[in-house]
Amino acid sequence: MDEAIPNQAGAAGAFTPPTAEQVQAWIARHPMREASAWLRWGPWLVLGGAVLLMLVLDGAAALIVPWAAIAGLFIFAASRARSAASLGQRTVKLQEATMLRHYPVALRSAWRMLPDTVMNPALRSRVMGVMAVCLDQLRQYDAAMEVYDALLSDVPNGHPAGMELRVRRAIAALSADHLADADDALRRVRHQLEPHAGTPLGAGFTFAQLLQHVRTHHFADAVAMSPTLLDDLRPLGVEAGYGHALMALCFQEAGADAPAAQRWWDRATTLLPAAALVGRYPELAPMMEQDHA
Amino acid sequence: MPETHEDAASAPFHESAMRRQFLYDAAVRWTAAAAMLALVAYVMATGPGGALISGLTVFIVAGAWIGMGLISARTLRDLPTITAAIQTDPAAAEAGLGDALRRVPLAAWARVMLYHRLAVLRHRQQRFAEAGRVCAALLGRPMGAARNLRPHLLLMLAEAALESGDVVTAYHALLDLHHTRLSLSEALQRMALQTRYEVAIGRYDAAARDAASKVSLAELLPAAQCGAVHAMLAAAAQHTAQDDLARRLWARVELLCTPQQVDRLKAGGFGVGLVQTTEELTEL
Repeated sequence: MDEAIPNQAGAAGAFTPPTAEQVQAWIARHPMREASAWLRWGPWLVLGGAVLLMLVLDGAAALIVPWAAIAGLFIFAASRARSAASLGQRTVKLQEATMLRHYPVALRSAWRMLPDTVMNPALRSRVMGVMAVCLDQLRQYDAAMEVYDALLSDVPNGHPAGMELRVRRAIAALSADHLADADDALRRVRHQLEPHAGTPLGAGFTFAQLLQHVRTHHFADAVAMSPTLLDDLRPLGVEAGYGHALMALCFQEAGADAPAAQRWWDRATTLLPAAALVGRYPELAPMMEQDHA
Repeated sequence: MPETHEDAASAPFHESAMRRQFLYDAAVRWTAAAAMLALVAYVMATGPGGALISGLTVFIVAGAWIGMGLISARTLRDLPTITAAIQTDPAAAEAGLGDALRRVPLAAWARVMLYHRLAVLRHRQQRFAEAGRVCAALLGRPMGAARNLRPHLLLMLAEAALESGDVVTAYHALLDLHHTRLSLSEALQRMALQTRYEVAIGRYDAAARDAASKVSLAELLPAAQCGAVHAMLAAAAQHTAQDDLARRLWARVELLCTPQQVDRLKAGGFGVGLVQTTEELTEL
């Protein structure tokens, strides 16, 4: 499966992210697993065996064997704890690389780490979360949706983490023009998200709704969101700039209020560079050109 | 058991009471260890003839050791619930901490972790003086396996000191943080606190230095904290006659923060909780 590992530098020197099929196959090949029976019962078997030997043996061996077995168990437990701690550290580094927007590096490391985390559900979720964010940011939306689906299959219904994943998956689906899929996902979480207004989760949902209006060309519906949009998107921090830029586009497309479109565009470019806005949502290119003009 | 175990979490924090708890734990653990060693020595001295006695000794020693470990393990198991409750239900967190702190004997790392959560709770309740006292008391003792909490304690101490107007303690905490290995998230919080400290003591030139890279780092913080760092940098830019930079930073503050937060920041109230209280704690 090595050919599926995303290359930092491919033959042409460019990074090659994995396809949706490769992601699906890689996750299927490394499903969550419980610790083997040997690992769970082994220490007790060793302890029991040592006690039995002690009863059977005589002389110095009767004293040395049980203590050696206990010492061995301690060393084994310590080495497992050290290895878990090291895996945790690697996951933190991975998340930091993602925060710093080193997406190709983080994705490659996450891909390689996934097999090491199959017996640790929490770490596996964090590593897969990194994969999803990186694929999303690298505009590999179908591949990102595969990871979101895998993550969602492990989260109980109604859990806030599940709602966040659903919203992020819906945004990826909208970005990949899977409009029906996204509509279905957003409908399902709408009523659950009411208590989350004013949080990053609620803001993510508002952004998804706005993007849905843009992708379905319901610009007037989007414009209707404008009175509260500033407050609704605020928890996203500078990322709210994407929403402001989309609102500017909606005002422009609805042909309603040119100064309002300019106002929203100015807000967007106060938070994010115009190039970043257009890089993520190419439909914003006319807004940037108009601004330059 | 010392009387201080009663309502350990809800009562005001006393360092001497905390020290007594640590001493009591250590005394119980060392007494048990000495008893176990004496038992082993006795069995060895009486000769290897009694295999049954040797086996029994192994079970007693292993059982006692595991039993003592289980108390700490139970505390570790309860910790995520307590941590989550700090944000959602402080009263439940208070009760959970009270129960957990009453357990004896706890491993030193387990008690450090519980007191750390108490500091987080007080910090979140904006009882900064008490939060600072808990942090300082923990930092003044060996932390053993819980030493990865040290950066977070220093961050809370620095913020609590700034909130209480104690810039000397804040300075020492920040100095310590500069000599401590930090995660990215902790480094971001240190940058925010240091900027706040520099503004608080009037070192506007230092605060405004390298503003562009500080802004890039601040963008990785949650919206309100990001806005607060922008506001501090704007205040520093105003004082160093960089009016254009100040204007651009304030424009961002107005988008990142709510109108109420903006009003508070304009009045110089930068206390929006720069230190993460619970989001990062699953790592610790």
